Amino acid sequence: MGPAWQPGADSSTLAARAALLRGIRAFFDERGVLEVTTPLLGGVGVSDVHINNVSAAGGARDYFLQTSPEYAMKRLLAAGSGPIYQLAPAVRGGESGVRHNIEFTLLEWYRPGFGSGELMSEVESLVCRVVGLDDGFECRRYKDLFISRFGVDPHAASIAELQSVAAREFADEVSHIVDHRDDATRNDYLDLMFSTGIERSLEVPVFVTDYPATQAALARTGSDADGAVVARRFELFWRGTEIANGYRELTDAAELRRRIEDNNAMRERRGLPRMDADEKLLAALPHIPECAGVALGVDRLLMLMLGKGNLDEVLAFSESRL
Amino acid sequence: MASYSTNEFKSGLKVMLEGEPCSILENEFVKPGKGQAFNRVKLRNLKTGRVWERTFKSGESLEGADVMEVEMEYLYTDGEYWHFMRTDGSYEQLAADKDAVSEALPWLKEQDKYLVTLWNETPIGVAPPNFVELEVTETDPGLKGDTAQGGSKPATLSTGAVVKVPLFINQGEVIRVDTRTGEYQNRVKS
Repeated sequence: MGPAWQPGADSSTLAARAALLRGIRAFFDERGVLEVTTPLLGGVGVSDVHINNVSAAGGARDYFLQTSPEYAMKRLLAAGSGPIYQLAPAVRGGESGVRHNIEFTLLEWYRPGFGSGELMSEVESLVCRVVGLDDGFECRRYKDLFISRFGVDPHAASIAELQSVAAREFADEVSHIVDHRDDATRNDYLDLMFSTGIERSLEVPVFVTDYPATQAALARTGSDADGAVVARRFELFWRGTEIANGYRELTDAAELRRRIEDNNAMRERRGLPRMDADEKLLAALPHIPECAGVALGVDRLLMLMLGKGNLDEVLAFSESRL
Repeated sequence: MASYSTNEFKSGLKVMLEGEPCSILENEFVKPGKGQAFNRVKLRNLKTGRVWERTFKSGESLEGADVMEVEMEYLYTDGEYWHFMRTDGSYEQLAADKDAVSEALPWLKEQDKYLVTLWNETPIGVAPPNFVELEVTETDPGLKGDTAQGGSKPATLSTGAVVKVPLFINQGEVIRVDTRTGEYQNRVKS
């Protein structure tokens, strides 16, 4: 009989995927956004503490498989590409589950001259068009969701407060989350509480905005209406699942370098290997026009559209079938 | 015992949690965009039968539990322990306490075979087979003429269990019972 060779996606799912990709391309074609192809291989990985870079050996040197096409697309923007989009493979080690696969497809695009509000509008238009939903997506601030669900301000609460709310709310053993005494520990609690207590309840399409400044990644930061420092970052949720992540892009190379060093300090404290900054990205950054960018999980979108219960059902071959 | 990390957790894996042997029921990988990954795990405590839900950081590990399920024959009870013998030809006998046999107690029949859960070689659970045939030791006589009409009466079985049986069942007859529901299935021709 031999090993199980069959694909996870059946033929109607493969056809739906092809139609989705066609719809996406038609959408951007109409709007004058250029499709680009950037390499899967990169010279540098990402320094983000929670993303595992997968490396590739056997070539002239060792490369890193890209966790997203962001760095390469930003270098194109810096060279004057104008608005660009890409349907790209992304690789993140250790991610495997109902909504995760080590390799997945990101639709990533950048809009020079857009603020995050304009880009959210475009994300909504795209999703409504290819999925067939009505527009008018809700918009909620991260802080308001937290206060409403847990009664605590995520920007102001101390680690101790978050820890006690988490323990009370979930009755789970959560105190084993080690205290590294850095912003990452606050984020660990915020992530735990958000993913356990809030994410699953976000059924209708909703944009979540104004993330904590410590979860800004490559986004700009600014002040919210209440004066707290927040990240100019938004995420789109649908049917309890995160499907897109967008930013007002950071264009300050010195600030980005500082964030990468902070990440590396956290990596060192956690016994993770250092990941140097991408010097070519840093050199290109000052030439990037003011823009907003977003990455959308194409496989997840397909999974939710078709009502499938597992990413394995929308991929030709998920990791377990390799 | 080996250690298992969260990405190795599969349904049926036996692990130690808070000093108790558990079986993993479900393992859900949860990770917000660029944040910490967690595993939300459901486990069944094999000693108490209760289901626990625990959240682990991805990459954490638990010690494996030395748990095995073996077929054993029920021999007898001395009131304090229930004695079983391995059916693998070794004739090894093990004693199970009241907690371990509690689920199977209404259905234990000498010389019948049961699936015994062993932890570090000690019985912690005994699973009855889905169906068991037991003799009715006490029941009121049925009225003449009452055949397959509705209506039932209580009957005590040789193990002490009491089940509802149709009115035509008499003392001394053997009946088949579904141990999962405690319901009468049919009469067994002897």
